[in-house]
Amino acid sequence: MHVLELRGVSKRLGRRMVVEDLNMTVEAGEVYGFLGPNGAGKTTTIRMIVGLIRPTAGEIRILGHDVQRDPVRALAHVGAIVENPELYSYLTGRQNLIHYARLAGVNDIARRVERVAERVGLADRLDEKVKRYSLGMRQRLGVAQALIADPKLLVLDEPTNGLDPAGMREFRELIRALAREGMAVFVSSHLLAEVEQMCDKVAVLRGGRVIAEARIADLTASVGHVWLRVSRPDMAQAVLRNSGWEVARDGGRLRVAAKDEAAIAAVVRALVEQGIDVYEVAPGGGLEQSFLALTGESPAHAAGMA
Amino acid sequence: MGTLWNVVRNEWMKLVRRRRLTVVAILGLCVVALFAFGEYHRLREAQNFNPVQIQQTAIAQMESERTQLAQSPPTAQRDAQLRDLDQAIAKAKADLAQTKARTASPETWRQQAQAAIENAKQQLSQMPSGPALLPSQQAQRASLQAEIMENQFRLQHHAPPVVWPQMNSWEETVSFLGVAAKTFIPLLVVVLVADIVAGEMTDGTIKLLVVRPVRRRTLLLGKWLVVTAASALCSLVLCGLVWLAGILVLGTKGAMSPHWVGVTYQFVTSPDQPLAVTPVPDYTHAALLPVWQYLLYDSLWIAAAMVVVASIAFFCSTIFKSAMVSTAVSMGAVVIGLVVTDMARHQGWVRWLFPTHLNLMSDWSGEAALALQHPVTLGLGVLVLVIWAVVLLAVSFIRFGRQDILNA
Ligand SMILES: Nc1ncnc2c1ncn2[C@@H]1O[C@H](COP(=O)(O)OP(=O)(O)OP(=O)(O)O)[C@@H](O)[C@H]1O
Ligand SMILES: [Mg+2]
Repeated sequence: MHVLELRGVSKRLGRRMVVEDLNMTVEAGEVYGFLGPNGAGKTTTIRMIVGLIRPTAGEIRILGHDVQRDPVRALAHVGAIVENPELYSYLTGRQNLIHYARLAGVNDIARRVERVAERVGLADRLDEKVKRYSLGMRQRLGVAQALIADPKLLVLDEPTNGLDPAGMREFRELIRALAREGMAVFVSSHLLAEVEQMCDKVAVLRGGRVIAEARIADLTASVGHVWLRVSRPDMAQAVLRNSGWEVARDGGRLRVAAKDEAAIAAVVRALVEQGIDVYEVAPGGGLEQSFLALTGESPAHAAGMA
Repeated sequence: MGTLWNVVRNEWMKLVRRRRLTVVAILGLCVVALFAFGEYHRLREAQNFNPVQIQQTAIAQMESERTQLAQSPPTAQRDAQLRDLDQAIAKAKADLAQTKARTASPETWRQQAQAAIENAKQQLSQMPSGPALLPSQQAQRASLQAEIMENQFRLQHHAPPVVWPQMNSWEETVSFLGVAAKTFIPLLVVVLVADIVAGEMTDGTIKLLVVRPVRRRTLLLGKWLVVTAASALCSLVLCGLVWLAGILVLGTKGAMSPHWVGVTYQFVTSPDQPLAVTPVPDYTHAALLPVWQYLLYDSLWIAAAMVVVASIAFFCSTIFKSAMVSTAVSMGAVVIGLVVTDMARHQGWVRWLFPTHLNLMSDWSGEAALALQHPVTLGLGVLVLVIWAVVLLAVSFIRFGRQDILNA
C-alpha cells in the first residue's frame, strides 16, 4: 500500500484550474521532492493532501484512507507544515506542542514533547513564549509539531525558509534520518539544489501540471560537465579540443563535457601532460543539465527556478 | 468524547492566555468601579438630605408667609388664601409627625402597611366586580390586589419599605444589572468571543489546528463550549462583583424587599379612547420573591442570555475571516440592536429581536411587556434567544465544516 497516493487530483480556484490531474505515489522510507516555481500550485496541492481544501476532482489516499471521506483516519498518521508554521505566539513552545499532541491523540504527552524538542534542537528554549523565538526557532518548532504524533507521512511546504546554512544541513540530515526510520516525506521546494541533496525522487510542477518525474539517482548518473580553472586557458582549450573533448570558454574558466569520473580524470591528465596547471575542477551541475533535458526548458527558465 | 475533552482543554488553555481576557477583565472592573462610584455619590447626596429639617424649613416658611398675610387688610380673597395656607401647614405638620415617628420607632411601618391593606380591601369591596368591567377598572382591581399581597409579604418577612434617603443595595444592584445586561456585559462578551475562530484565521494558526485527526465539527464544538462557558462565567463574576460593590458601599439591609415575577399583561384599547392603550395586569401566575432571590435568578438569566450573545459573536467569527471585522460586526449587532429595539419598541416585531430579551428577568417580571406594550413572557424571551442561537450556530457548523481554508 502506498503511504500517499494522488489520483487525478485537480483544483479549481475561481475560474482557474490551479492544479490539474496530479498523479503521484509516495512510499515508506522515501523522500519525495515536489519542485516548482512560485505559483506553480505546490501549496495548493499540499493543502489538499492535509485536508485543508477539497479537490475539485480526483482522490487523495493516505495509507489507503480517503482524506475527504475519512479525514480522521487519514490524518492520524500525517504531520505537516503548510507555508509558514504559524504557532500560538502567546503560548510557550512546550504549550504549543502539548496542544498539538492532545489533538493527535498522543499517549505519553510529556515524554513525547521532550523527545521531539530534542530531535529538532529546541529543548533548552522550550519554556519560552513563541513570540520571543527567532524565525529559525519557529521553523524548528514547526517541524517538532509535525513530528509530534510520530507520523508515517510528513508533508512539508518549503520547510527550509529562514534556516541558516548550518540549520539547513541539520534539517536535511534530520529528514534523511527520518526516511531511514521508514517515514515517507513529501517536501515541496523551489530550490533544485535542495531537492537534489534531500530527495530520492522528484516531481516537477509547472502551471499546475506535473511536467516530469524522476529518481534523483538516475538524473545525477547521466550526462554532465565539469568546470576547470587552469593556468593557460587558451592553450588548454586547444589541447582538449584536439583530444576530442567538447569544450566551451566562459571567461577564465573552461566548461568540459564529461559524463563520468573516468572522463574527468582523463581530462585532467591530458592537461597536466601538456604542462598546464590545473587549479580547480568543479562538478558542473550534472543534475541541472539532465533536469533541463527532462523538463525541456531553456537555461533561462532554470534560473527562474533556482 | 475523549477528543472533545482534549479540544476543550486546548481551547481553555488558549483562552485564558490570550490578551483579550485581560482586556475583558479590566473593562469589567471599570464597569464595577463605575457602579460603585455612582452609588457612593448618591449615598453622599442622601446623607446630606435630612427630611425632618427640610420639612421644618418648609413649615417655618409657610408660617411666616401666613403672619405677613394676616397683617394685610382683610378681604374675601385674603381669607381664602389664609384658609388654604392653614390647611397646607396642618398637612405638612402631620407629615413631619409621621417622618419623626418613623425615625423614632422603626416599627411604625407595620401599622402603616396594615392600614394600607385595610384601605385596599375596603376599596376593593366597594368596587364593582364581574366580567363586564372596564379595562381601567380591571387594572385598578389588579393593582389593589397586588398592593395587598405586597404589604402582606412585607409584614410576613419583616421587610420594611425602603424610602429615600434610605438606599437598598440589592435594589440598586438589580436596577444596574438591568441596564448592564443589555449594554456592558454583551459588549464584554463580544470582545471575549468574536475572534475565537476569526483570530486563528487571521494569524494562520487555523491550518495546523485543522490538519489534526479531529473532525472540524468537534473542533468547533469544543471552541463553542469553551467560549460560552467563559462568557457565562465572566457575566456571573461581574454580577457578583457588582453585588459586592453595592454591599460594600450601601450595606446589606433590605434583602427581603419583595419583587414581582410572572406578572402578565393584556393591552386593551377602550372603544371611547382608541389611541390610549391600557395595560391590564394579570397576577394569576405571579409571585413575590425577596430581592436577594430575585438577584440570584437575575444573574443566572443574564448568564444564560450571554451564552446566546456569545453564540452570535461566535457565528460572526466563523463567517468573517478577519478578527477585526468579526468583532466590529458583533458589536454592531449588539449596539444597533439596542438602538432599534428602543426606537421601535412599540412595534410587535421587536419581540423577535435578540437584544429585546437580553435582560430576561424583565421578561419574567413583566416590566418588558409594559415597556413594549405587547405581551412578553419569560417563555417567549427564552424561545426567541434559543431560536437565534440555534439558527446561527447551525449556519456556523455547516459553513466551517465545508470551508476551504485557503488564505490563512
Ligand atoms: N484563494 C485563491 N483564489 C484564487 N487563486 C489562488 C488562490 N490562492 C492561490 N491561488 C493561485 O493558485 C496558484 C498556485 O498557488 P500556490 O500557493 O499553490 O503556489 P506555490 O507553488 O505554493 O507557490 P510559492 O512557491 O510561491 O509558494 C497561484 O497562481 C495563485 O495565484
Ligand atoms: Mg507555496
